[in-house]
Amino acid sequence: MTIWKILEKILIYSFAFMLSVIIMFPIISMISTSLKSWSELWISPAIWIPNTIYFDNYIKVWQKIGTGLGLTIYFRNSMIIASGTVLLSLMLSIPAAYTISRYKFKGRKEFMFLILITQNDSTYYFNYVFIYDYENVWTIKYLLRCNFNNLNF
Amino acid sequence: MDKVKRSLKTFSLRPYFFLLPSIFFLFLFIIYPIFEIIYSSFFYITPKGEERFVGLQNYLDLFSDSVFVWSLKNTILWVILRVTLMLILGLGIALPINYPFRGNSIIETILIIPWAMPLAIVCYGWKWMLNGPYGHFNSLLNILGLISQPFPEWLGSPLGAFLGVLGVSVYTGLPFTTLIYLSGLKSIPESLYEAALIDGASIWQRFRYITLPQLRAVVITIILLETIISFGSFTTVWIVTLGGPLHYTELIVTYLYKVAFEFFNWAKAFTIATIGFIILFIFSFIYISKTWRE
Repeated sequence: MTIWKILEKILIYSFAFMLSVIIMFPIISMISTSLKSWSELWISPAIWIPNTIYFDNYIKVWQKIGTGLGLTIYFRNSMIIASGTVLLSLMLSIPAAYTISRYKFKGRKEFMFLILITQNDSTYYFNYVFIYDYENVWTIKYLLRCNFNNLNF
Repeated sequence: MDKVKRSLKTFSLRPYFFLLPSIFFLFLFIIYPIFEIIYSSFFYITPKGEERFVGLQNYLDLFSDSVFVWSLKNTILWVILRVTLMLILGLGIALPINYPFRGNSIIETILIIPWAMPLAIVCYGWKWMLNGPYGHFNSLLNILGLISQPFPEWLGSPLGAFLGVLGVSVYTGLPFTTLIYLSGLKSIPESLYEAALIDGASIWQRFRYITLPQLRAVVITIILLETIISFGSFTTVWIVTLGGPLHYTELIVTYLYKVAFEFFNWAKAFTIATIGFIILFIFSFIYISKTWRE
């Protein structure tokens, strides 16, 4: 009985270890690559620990990438989008959630279904398309109608 | 309490007033575009921007396009493989993790990492890792002695690219499935297993006659949810292979993107979007009616 228990423990721990190694593998690879210099990047069987730990990539990324402003501008944009999304969705969802839980009214069930079906991944994943299509609904069509008509090609 | 009761009885406009902003946004950003797209798929758009009603001609044209048919087949294969892998691997990971042992919570935390990291970052990491001569994946296989110097270019061969993208997709999606499985496993009452132990049931019997039937609802949820997610796995495919080499990893969504924003064939893009939407809508509808709780 005790031997079986120990065996079980060993099995579980080795499984957990293997699993975490597999999960961490791409992340380790990413970190290792980020610490490589340009010449070490192109060594054919890729090395795991760079011969010289090279932190310049991090500095370069913060200083030079993109429009010369570095990562700051991207981080700023991400912050704006993230906080804007949170604020807007809170503003929209708090009244809706309050109403759904507090009031009983005609169309309550229908509204919940509408929320679910639109928040579900079917539309969520097609949102890539819808967002672009949406853009196109307003702009591309407008362009097609106005500009291309004038261009007359 | 009195107030609530009163509001239940008398009809008032107040709930509709509160719902107005969210309904407005839903209609503006989701419902209206959907109907606009479905409506536009019945029109032919000339290069001049004029719209001519053509009925179902767009759909007929679409199914004579061999690339679309190919990508449709590819998508079906992709969905079946991905959902099956998710179901099996998710359960395979969740079962041992659910077993009480020290370090349980550490593993659960590590497990969430691929899911919690931004999808684009993980995909770019994998893309470089799967690189033929310079990637770490081949380096690892080389250390293990499985391959030697002219390293295979995984994302350059048809089968390798498909399996590679599938692997990346499963890697990023598996934590979610495992978490659903874990929550399902944790809700199985312990007394069932105790009763089975007293009756002398073996491990296999306990799994077959207690765990699996108890997980039935979870499995159905995962199948539907993963089917919906798999149909739309655009980010992974787009970043790792761009649908290439030669459409071998092309899915409906990536082809849709290409038709819309590389070929600028709007009528065709609307038609593909409508077909994709209908397929996904059916699955979402089933999913919601299955999980509908009032």
